[in-house]
Amino acid sequence: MTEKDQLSRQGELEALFFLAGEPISFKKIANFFQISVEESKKLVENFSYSLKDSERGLVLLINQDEVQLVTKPQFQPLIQKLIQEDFRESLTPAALETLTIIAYLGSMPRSLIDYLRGVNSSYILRNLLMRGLIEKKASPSRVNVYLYQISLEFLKHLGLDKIEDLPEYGKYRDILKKFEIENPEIKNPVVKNLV
Amino acid sequence: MTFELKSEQYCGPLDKLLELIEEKKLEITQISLAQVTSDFLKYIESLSESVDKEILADFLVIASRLVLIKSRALFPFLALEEEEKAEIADLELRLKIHQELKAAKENIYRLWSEEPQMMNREFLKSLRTIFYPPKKFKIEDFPRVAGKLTGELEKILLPQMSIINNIVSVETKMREILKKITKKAVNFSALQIEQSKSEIIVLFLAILYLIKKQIIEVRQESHFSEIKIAKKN
Repeated sequence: MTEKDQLSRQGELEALFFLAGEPISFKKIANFFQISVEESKKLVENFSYSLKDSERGLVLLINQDEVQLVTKPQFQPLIQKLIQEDFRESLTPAALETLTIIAYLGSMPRSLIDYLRGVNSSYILRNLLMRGLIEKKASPSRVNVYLYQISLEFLKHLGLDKIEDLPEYGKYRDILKKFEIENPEIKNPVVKNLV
Repeated sequence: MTFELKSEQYCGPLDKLLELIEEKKLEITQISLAQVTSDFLKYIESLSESVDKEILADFLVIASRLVLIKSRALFPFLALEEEEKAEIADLELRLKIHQELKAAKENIYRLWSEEPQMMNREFLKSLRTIFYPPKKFKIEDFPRVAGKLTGELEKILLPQMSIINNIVSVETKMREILKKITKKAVNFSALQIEQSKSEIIVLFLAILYLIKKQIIEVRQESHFSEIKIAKKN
């Protein structure tokens, strides 16, 4: 794409995001513009960069392969004046624990969540799914296994652009690997099978 | 729905165990785990009757590991199977991960806002509302999807059937035994009522406990012969 193409495409992308409101996948964007997924990622990245100026009121949220245009968190008080949003979401200890595990350690199956929490997590997972704070998708490698990951809604509650912006993200991301390396005698099949 | 509320408020066995260890300002080692075992067991006993059996089961699994660890601590010459050694190492590992995650939980808790901090525009807000089915949609898809939805709802709404097994408790057995034995010895087999395997196990456990309490005496003439039980003087 030429520079001129890029810029006009950015305008089209902005219009697309504005109208859609809902998250759009890179694949859809690629399809829309008849470009490759790689090119769509670059396009999104450039657009995201242009939004970083403090005078812009919007920001792009990115989660796995989905993108959503939203307002920047600092404008929240202003927006409150406009919208009567009565829907409040509180965090119970079980919800906090489950969300922490999924957020920091990445998408994982229920078996691993149960193992790390030490309790059966089916109820809390269904609860979080219903609230739209997590999503589940079929495992690419194992049949009949679902992987749970955090959703864009979750990011909105934290005011983060992407999950990697969580404090100390890098430290916790690899914590399971670190423990496995330090404890090779642990032959636990659940941990061995993590994604 | 009540289970959900309850289970969200109770801390799990790993939380409790970690709490007990940190209260005593200990590191996570087999020795410290052995030290907190009786506190942990006391906690389980204190759990109210209304605690869901599933939560209780989770606690009991951890409790059994702790009892194994404590036994080892009391009897260092106790030989453990490979599986048991792995189970103990496993508990230590999970507890350590749990401890690490505490700070991570703090991070999320601090950042969490009860209302979303970022808002998006409603999907296709300015367009008028029309029915716009997907390209490959056929009329037959309607009943199929409706059926799927009903199926999903059934899972949540239909009452679950509980299968209650008649479980004999060790305490009940102990009371039965105390009623039947005298200074004169009674045979183990005479104390059985149902002849079921689980009853034999519970009976045996009850006898071990009564021996520990020094209430009864037992004698067995040879391997696998009848066990004779009598009240202690």
